[in-house]
Amino acid sequence: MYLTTHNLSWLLLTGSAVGVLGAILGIGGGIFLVPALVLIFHIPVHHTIATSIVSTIATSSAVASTKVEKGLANMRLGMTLEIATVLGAMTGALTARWLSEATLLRIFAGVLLVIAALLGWKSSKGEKAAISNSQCTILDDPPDDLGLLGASFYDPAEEKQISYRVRKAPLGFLASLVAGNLSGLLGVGGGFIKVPVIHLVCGVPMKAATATSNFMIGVTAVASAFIYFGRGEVRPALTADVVLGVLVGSFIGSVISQRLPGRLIQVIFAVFLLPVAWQMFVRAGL
Amino acid sequence: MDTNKENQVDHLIHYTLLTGVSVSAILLTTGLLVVLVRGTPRPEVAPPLSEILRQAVMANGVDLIYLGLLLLMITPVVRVMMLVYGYARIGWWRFALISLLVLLLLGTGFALWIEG
Repeated sequence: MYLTTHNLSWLLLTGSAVGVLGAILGIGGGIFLVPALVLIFHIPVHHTIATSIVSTIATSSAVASTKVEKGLANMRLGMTLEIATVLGAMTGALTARWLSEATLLRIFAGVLLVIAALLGWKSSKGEKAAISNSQCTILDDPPDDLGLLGASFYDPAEEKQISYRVRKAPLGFLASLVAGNLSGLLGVGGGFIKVPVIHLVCGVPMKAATATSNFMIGVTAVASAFIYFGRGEVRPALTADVVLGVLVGSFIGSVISQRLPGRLIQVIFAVFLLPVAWQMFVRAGL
Repeated sequence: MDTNKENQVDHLIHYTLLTGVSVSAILLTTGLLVVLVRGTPRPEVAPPLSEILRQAVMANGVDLIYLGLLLLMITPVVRVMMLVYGYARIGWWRFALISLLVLLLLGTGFALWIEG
């Protein structure tokens, strides 16, 4: 594909739309970006995955910079789990080389179905999809020592300092390995695996779990981005265009998301992902 | 573990990420604008790393894009380097070593890039 002003404009708009959707739904834009580039722009799937991976670095770095400053991201936990995500991402990117376009499309479509189910479950459960602070390992009267991975942050909604310990870190490590592998293989952030595990299993409060997952995504993505770049699958102008669109869209999405009915939107997109997954299967020749 | 010490590292990481993303976004925007103004259709083939670095000093549109992408991809790596430094500085050697291990893993990915 040769880039023209016309193509660049549409790609920028697509990137922006993906950024808005990702911010509203609270998930990485990769699950929308890859299908959009494959099904609308007919770009080969290996190139779309590479583009998605680089755009993930941009959004993760931008969001993580503010979350780290606010103390929400648990960097010690994030760095420990990054050992697993980086290993997984490199394995995924190396594996992708040997998989055909049809196989990658099928795997991607399968992941879309899983995400649709998760979104549907989350919207049907509402606030019950998250465990309460009392079920996390939050300490009302925290000692000076929160353990190696424990941390604290100020929650403006509750107007108090939240201190917590981290439990079952090995399970978080395992989930991070899987999330990293899918990230390197499919160009997605993998937050849809990491956030629930860090929150529900490791007992980290939801806000810290989301921020920590986001903090990790940039490093996870760059591990596989190097490999995709080395194979010549990162198309510079295409990627630059999409990255800028996603950055702008993420900013707009984060502003408007607070005014939108979150549960309804999750249901709409859970349903929307089904035909997209079907189209990916069709594209792969079923 | 005194988490107050970590605030120093938080600031370091905040500014590292913010600077990397901001500068790369400026380079990507400038590069794309130059490409758009010139209206030249571009073949989408990325040169090897050595070629990117060599051509980055020439400020034409596509080279600016290459430089922006390179900077964007290096930003998380610099973030890990800053963590190695930051944790070592406050004496949290366990996490300095963990960060160093992640850096070594990223170095392996970088080596795979060079090999293509």
